[in-house]
Amino acid sequence: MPLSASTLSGALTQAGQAAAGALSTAGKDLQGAFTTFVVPELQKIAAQIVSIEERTATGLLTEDAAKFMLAGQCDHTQSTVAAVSELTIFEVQNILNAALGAVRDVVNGAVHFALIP
Amino acid sequence: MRSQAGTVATDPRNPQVQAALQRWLGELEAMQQLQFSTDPGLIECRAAADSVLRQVQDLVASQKQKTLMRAIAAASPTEDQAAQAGSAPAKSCEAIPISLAAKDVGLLQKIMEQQCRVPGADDAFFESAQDDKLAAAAGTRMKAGVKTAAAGSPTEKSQAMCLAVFLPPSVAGSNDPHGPPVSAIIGDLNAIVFIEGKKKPGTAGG
Repeated sequence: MPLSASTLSGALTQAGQAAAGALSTAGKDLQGAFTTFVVPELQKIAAQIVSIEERTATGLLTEDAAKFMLAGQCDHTQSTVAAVSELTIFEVQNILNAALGAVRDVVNGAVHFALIP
Repeated sequence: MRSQAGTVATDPRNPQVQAALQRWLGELEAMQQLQFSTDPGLIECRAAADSVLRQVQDLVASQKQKTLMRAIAAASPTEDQAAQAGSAPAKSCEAIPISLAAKDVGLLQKIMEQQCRVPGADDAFFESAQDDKLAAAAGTRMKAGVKTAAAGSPTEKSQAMCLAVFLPPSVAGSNDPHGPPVSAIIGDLNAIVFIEGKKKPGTAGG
Protein backbone atom coordinates (compact mmCIF):
# COMPACT_ATOMS: atom_id res chain seq x y z
CA MET A 1 0.00 0.00 0.00
CA PRO A 2 1.39 3.45 -0.92
CA LEU A 3 2.59 5.66 1.89
CA SER A 4 0.48 8.62 2.96
CA ALA A 5 2.24 11.90 3.75
CA SER A 6 -0.29 12.84 6.42
CA THR A 7 -0.11 9.45 8.17
CA LEU A 8 3.68 9.48 8.05
CA SER A 9 3.80 13.06 9.28
CA GLY A 10 1.56 12.13 12.22
CA ALA A 11 3.75 9.18 13.18
CA LEU A 12 6.95 11.20 12.86
CA THR A 13 5.48 14.00 14.98
CA GLN A 14 4.21 11.66 17.69
CA ALA A 15 7.58 9.91 18.07
CA GLY A 16 9.51 13.18 17.81
CA GLN A 17 7.32 14.77 20.47
CA ALA A 18 8.00 11.89 22.85
CA ALA A 19 11.73 12.29 22.23
CA ALA A 20 11.55 16.06 22.80
CA GLY A 21 9.72 15.40 26.06
CA ALA A 22 12.36 12.90 27.17
CA LEU A 23 15.15 15.35 26.33
CA SER A 24 13.50 18.21 28.20
CA THR A 25 14.85 19.11 31.62
CA ALA A 26 13.65 21.36 34.40
CA GLY A 27 15.81 24.13 32.96
CA LYS A 28 15.00 23.57 29.31
CA ASP A 29 11.60 22.58 27.94
CA LEU A 30 11.94 21.53 24.30
CA GLN A 31 8.23 21.06 23.57
CA GLY A 32 7.61 24.62 22.41
CA ALA A 33 10.57 24.65 20.05
CA PHE A 34 9.59 21.20 18.81
CA THR A 35 6.09 22.36 17.85
CA THR A 36 7.24 25.61 16.28
CA PHE A 37 10.37 24.52 14.45
CA VAL A 38 10.63 20.74 14.20
CA VAL A 39 7.05 19.76 13.25
CA PRO A 40 7.09 21.73 9.96
CA GLU A 41 10.40 20.03 9.09
CA LEU A 42 8.97 16.60 9.90
CA GLN A 43 6.10 17.36 7.50
CA LYS A 44 8.67 18.08 4.78
CA ILE A 45 10.48 14.83 5.57
CA ALA A 46 7.18 12.93 5.30
CA ALA A 47 6.51 14.53 1.91
CA GLN A 48 10.03 13.72 0.83
CA ILE A 49 9.68 10.05 1.80
CA VAL A 50 6.40 9.74 -0.14
CA SER A 51 8.04 11.38 -3.15
CA ILE A 52 10.99 8.99 -2.88
CA GLU A 53 8.61 6.03 -2.79
CA GLU A 54 6.86 7.24 -5.96
CA ARG A 55 10.07 7.99 -7.82
CA THR A 56 11.87 4.77 -6.91
CA ALA A 57 8.78 2.74 -7.83
CA THR A 58 8.81 4.24 -11.32
CA GLY A 59 12.57 3.81 -11.69
CA LEU A 60 13.25 7.56 -11.70
CA LEU A 61 15.36 7.42 -8.57
CA THR A 62 18.10 4.93 -7.72
CA GLU A 63 18.23 3.47 -4.20
CA ASP A 64 21.52 5.21 -3.45
CA ALA A 65 20.26 8.57 -4.68
CA ALA A 66 17.13 8.12 -2.56
CA LYS A 67 19.25 7.49 0.55
CA PHE A 68 21.39 10.56 -0.22
CA MET A 69 18.26 12.66 -0.67
CA LEU A 70 16.81 11.67 2.68
CA ALA A 71 20.19 12.30 4.33
CA GLY A 72 20.26 15.76 2.75
CA GLN A 73 16.76 16.49 4.00
CA CYS A 74 17.78 15.49 7.54
CA ASP A 75 20.89 17.72 7.35
CA HIS A 76 18.67 20.56 6.21
CA THR A 77 16.44 20.00 9.23
CA GLN A 78 19.36 19.86 11.64
CA SER A 79 21.08 23.03 10.47
CA THR A 80 17.87 25.01 10.03
CA VAL A 81 16.30 24.11 13.37
CA ALA A 82 19.55 24.47 15.31
CA ALA A 83 20.11 27.90 13.75
CA VAL A 84 16.71 29.39 14.47
CA SER A 85 15.75 27.74 17.76
CA GLU A 86 17.27 27.01 21.14
CA LEU A 87 17.60 23.34 20.18
CA THR A 88 21.15 22.10 19.67
CA ILE A 89 22.30 19.96 16.75
CA PHE A 90 22.47 17.01 19.17
CA GLU A 91 18.91 17.50 20.34
CA VAL A 92 17.60 17.79 16.79
CA GLN A 93 19.57 14.67 15.81
CA ASN A 94 18.10 12.71 18.71
CA ILE A 95 14.56 13.83 17.90
CA LEU A 96 15.03 12.99 14.21
CA ASN A 97 16.47 9.57 15.01
CA ALA A 98 13.52 8.77 17.26
CA ALA A 99 11.01 10.01 14.68
CA LEU A 100 12.57 8.12 11.78
CA GLY A 101 13.01 5.02 13.93
CA ALA A 102 9.28 4.95 14.55
CA VAL A 103 8.45 4.73 10.83
CA ARG A 104 11.48 2.69 9.71
CA ASP A 105 9.71 -0.64 9.20
CA VAL A 106 6.70 0.86 7.42
CA VAL A 107 8.82 3.01 5.12
CA ASN A 108 11.45 0.38 4.32
CA GLY A 109 8.69 -2.13 3.65
CA ALA A 110 6.94 0.25 1.26
CA VAL A 111 10.05 1.16 -0.75
CA HIS A 112 11.45 -2.41 -0.64
CA PHE A 113 14.94 -1.33 0.47
CA ALA A 114 16.54 0.12 3.60
CA LEU A 115 15.84 3.79 2.98
CA ILE A 116 15.99 4.43 6.73
CA PRO A 117 19.00 2.54 8.15
CA MET B 1 19.46 23.95 -14.11
CA ARG B 2 16.06 22.32 -14.62
CA SER B 3 15.89 23.37 -18.30
CA GLN B 4 19.13 21.52 -18.93
CA ALA B 5 18.57 18.57 -16.59
CA GLY B 6 19.53 15.31 -18.23
CA THR B 7 21.77 16.90 -20.87
CA VAL B 8 25.57 16.96 -20.78
CA ALA B 9 25.27 20.36 -19.06
CA THR B 10 24.30 18.55 -15.85
CA ASP B 11 26.35 15.40 -16.34
CA PRO B 12 28.66 15.08 -13.31
CA ARG B 13 31.55 14.27 -15.65
CA ASN B 14 31.21 17.65 -17.37
CA PRO B 15 34.27 19.71 -16.40
CA GLN B 16 32.07 22.77 -15.87
CA VAL B 17 29.87 20.88 -13.38
CA GLN B 18 32.94 19.58 -11.58
CA ALA B 19 34.46 23.06 -11.50
CA ALA B 20 31.28 24.54 -10.01
CA LEU B 21 31.11 21.91 -7.25
CA GLN B 22 34.81 22.32 -6.49
CA ARG B 23 34.39 26.09 -6.34
CA TRP B 24 31.58 25.72 -3.79
CA LEU B 25 33.72 23.38 -1.69
CA GLY B 26 36.63 25.81 -1.93
CA GLU B 27 34.46 28.68 -0.75
CA LEU B 28 33.15 26.58 2.14
CA GLU B 29 36.72 25.67 3.04
CA ALA B 30 37.61 29.36 3.19
CA MET B 31 34.54 30.07 5.35
CA GLN B 32 35.50 27.20 7.64
CA GLN B 33 39.02 28.53 8.08
CA LEU B 34 37.68 31.99 8.84
CA GLN B 35 35.15 30.59 11.31
CA PHE B 36 37.81 28.73 13.25
CA SER B 37 40.20 31.66 13.22
CA THR B 38 37.55 33.88 14.81
CA ASP B 39 36.09 31.16 17.05
CA PRO B 40 34.20 32.90 19.83
CA GLY B 41 34.18 29.63 21.80
CA LEU B 42 30.65 30.21 23.00
CA ILE B 43 29.46 26.63 22.76
CA GLU B 44 31.27 23.46 23.80
CA CYS B 45 30.76 21.06 20.96
CA ARG B 46 33.85 19.09 20.13
CA ALA B 47 31.75 15.92 20.11
CA ALA B 48 29.21 17.49 17.77
CA ALA B 49 31.98 18.48 15.37
CA ASP B 50 33.37 14.93 15.53
CA SER B 51 29.97 13.54 14.64
CA VAL B 52 29.63 15.79 11.61
CA LEU B 53 33.21 15.09 10.54
CA ARG B 54 32.58 11.36 10.59
CA GLN B 55 29.64 11.88 8.26
CA VAL B 56 31.64 14.11 5.93
CA GLN B 57 34.49 11.59 5.93
CA ASP B 58 32.23 9.03 4.26
CA LEU B 59 31.76 11.39 1.39
CA VAL B 60 35.36 12.33 0.84
CA ALA B 61 36.11 11.81 -2.80
CA SER B 62 37.77 14.86 -4.19
CA GLN B 63 41.04 16.49 -3.24
CA LYS B 64 39.15 19.62 -2.21
CA GLN B 65 37.08 17.64 0.25
CA LYS B 66 40.22 16.00 1.64
CA THR B 67 41.74 19.44 2.05
CA LEU B 68 38.60 20.62 3.79
CA MET B 69 38.73 17.63 6.12
CA ARG B 70 42.34 18.31 7.04
CA ALA B 71 41.58 21.97 7.65
CA ILE B 72 38.69 21.11 9.96
CA ALA B 73 40.73 18.50 11.80
CA ALA B 74 43.68 20.86 12.18
CA ALA B 75 41.48 23.68 13.37
CA SER B 76 39.67 21.58 15.95
CA PRO B 77 42.20 19.45 17.80
CA THR B 78 41.22 17.37 20.81
CA GLU B 79 42.21 18.71 24.20
CA ASP B 80 45.17 16.30 24.31
CA GLN B 81 46.32 17.31 20.85
CA ALA B 82 45.89 20.96 21.71
CA ALA B 83 47.88 20.55 24.92
CA GLN B 84 50.72 18.91 23.00
CA ALA B 85 50.66 21.68 20.43
CA GLY B 86 50.39 24.36 23.11
CA SER B 87 47.12 25.75 21.74
CA ALA B 88 43.53 25.92 22.93
CA PRO B 89 41.01 23.43 21.53
CA ALA B 90 38.32 24.84 19.28
CA LYS B 91 34.98 24.73 21.06
CA SER B 92 32.63 26.48 18.71
CA CYS B 93 29.46 24.98 17.28
CA GLU B 94 29.02 27.88 14.91
CA ALA B 95 31.06 26.11 12.23
CA ILE B 96 28.79 23.07 12.07
CA PRO B 97 26.39 24.46 9.43
CA ILE B 98 29.45 25.06 7.23
CA SER B 99 30.49 21.43 7.69
CA LEU B 100 26.92 20.35 6.89
CA ALA B 101 26.93 22.52 3.77
CA ALA B 102 30.16 20.82 2.63
CA LYS B 103 28.57 17.45 3.30
CA ASP B 104 25.50 18.42 1.31
CA VAL B 105 27.56 19.59 -1.67
CA GLY B 106 29.19 16.13 -1.52
CA LEU B 107 25.71 14.56 -1.42
CA LEU B 108 24.60 16.58 -4.45
CA GLN B 109 27.68 15.38 -6.31
CA LYS B 110 26.89 11.75 -5.43
CA ILE B 111 23.21 12.11 -6.34
CA MET B 112 24.11 13.61 -9.71
CA GLU B 113 26.50 10.69 -10.28
CA GLN B 114 23.52 8.38 -9.79
CA GLN B 115 20.89 10.36 -11.64
CA CYS B 116 22.40 12.70 -14.21
CA ARG B 117 24.85 10.69 -16.32
CA VAL B 118 23.86 11.04 -19.97
CA PRO B 119 23.64 7.63 -21.62
CA GLY B 120 25.69 7.31 -24.77
CA ALA B 121 28.28 9.82 -23.58
CA ASP B 122 31.28 7.93 -22.25
CA ASP B 123 34.05 9.37 -20.12
CA ALA B 124 36.19 9.94 -23.23
CA PHE B 125 33.51 12.27 -24.59
CA PHE B 126 34.03 14.63 -21.66
CA GLU B 127 37.79 14.27 -21.64
CA SER B 128 38.11 15.15 -25.31
CA ALA B 129 35.24 17.60 -25.74
CA GLN B 130 36.03 21.27 -26.00
CA ASP B 131 33.81 23.88 -24.36
CA ASP B 132 32.02 24.74 -27.61
CA LYS B 133 31.21 21.08 -28.27
CA LEU B 134 29.88 20.67 -24.74
CA ALA B 135 27.83 23.83 -25.09
CA ALA B 136 26.35 22.55 -28.34
CA ALA B 137 25.59 19.15 -26.80
CA ALA B 138 24.04 20.81 -23.76
CA GLY B 139 21.55 22.41 -26.12
CA THR B 140 20.56 19.00 -27.44
CA ARG B 141 17.17 18.27 -25.99
CA MET B 142 15.54 14.93 -26.51
CA LYS B 143 13.52 14.92 -29.70
CA ALA B 144 9.95 13.65 -29.50
CA GLY B 145 9.79 9.94 -30.05
CA VAL B 146 13.54 9.43 -29.70
CA LYS B 147 14.09 6.79 -27.04
CA THR B 148 17.69 5.82 -27.74
CA ALA B 149 20.51 8.19 -26.99
CA ALA B 150 23.16 9.04 -29.49
CA ALA B 151 26.49 10.12 -28.04
CA GLY B 152 25.93 13.04 -25.77
CA SER B 153 22.16 13.24 -26.15
CA PRO B 154 19.65 12.40 -23.44
CA THR B 155 16.78 9.94 -23.43
CA GLU B 156 13.33 10.53 -22.06
CA LYS B 157 14.21 8.51 -18.95
CA SER B 158 17.62 10.10 -18.39
CA GLN B 159 16.04 13.55 -18.45
CA ALA B 160 13.30 12.50 -16.04
CA MET B 161 15.85 10.91 -13.70
CA CYS B 162 17.96 14.06 -13.55
CA LEU B 163 14.90 16.26 -13.16
CA ALA B 164 13.92 14.15 -10.14
CA VAL B 165 16.97 15.65 -8.40
CA PHE B 166 15.96 19.24 -8.98
CA LEU B 167 12.17 19.15 -8.81
CA PRO B 168 10.47 19.52 -5.41
CA PRO B 169 8.38 16.62 -4.07
CA SER B 170 5.02 16.72 -5.84
CA VAL B 171 2.99 15.61 -2.86
CA ALA B 172 0.67 17.38 -0.46
CA GLY B 173 2.51 18.89 2.46
CA SER B 174 5.51 20.02 0.45
CA ASN B 175 5.83 23.70 -0.42
CA ASP B 176 9.55 23.63 -1.13
CA PRO B 177 10.45 25.28 -4.44
CA HIS B 178 13.58 23.15 -4.95
CA GLY B 179 14.60 19.53 -5.01
CA PRO B 180 15.87 18.14 -1.69
CA PRO B 181 19.63 18.27 -2.45
CA VAL B 182 19.46 21.94 -3.43
CA SER B 183 17.13 22.79 -0.54
CA ALA B 184 19.56 21.17 1.89
CA ILE B 185 22.41 23.39 0.70
CA ILE B 186 20.22 26.51 0.74
CA GLY B 187 19.09 25.60 4.26
CA ASP B 188 22.69 25.28 5.42
CA LEU B 189 23.60 28.62 3.86
CA ASN B 190 20.58 30.28 5.50
CA ALA B 191 21.67 28.81 8.83
CA ILE B 192 25.19 30.22 8.35
CA VAL B 193 23.80 33.67 7.50
CA PHE B 194 21.41 33.53 10.48
CA ILE B 195 24.18 32.55 12.90
CA GLU B 196 26.46 35.28 11.57
CA GLY B 197 23.61 37.75 12.04
CA LYS B 198 23.14 36.66 15.65
CA LYS B 199 26.80 37.42 16.39
CA LYS B 200 26.43 41.07 15.46
CA PRO B 201 25.15 43.22 18.33
CA GLY B 202 21.82 44.90 17.64
CA THR B 203 20.82 42.69 14.69
CA ALA B 204 17.71 40.53 14.45
CA GLY B 205 17.70 37.04 15.92
CA GLY B 206 19.90 37.64 18.70
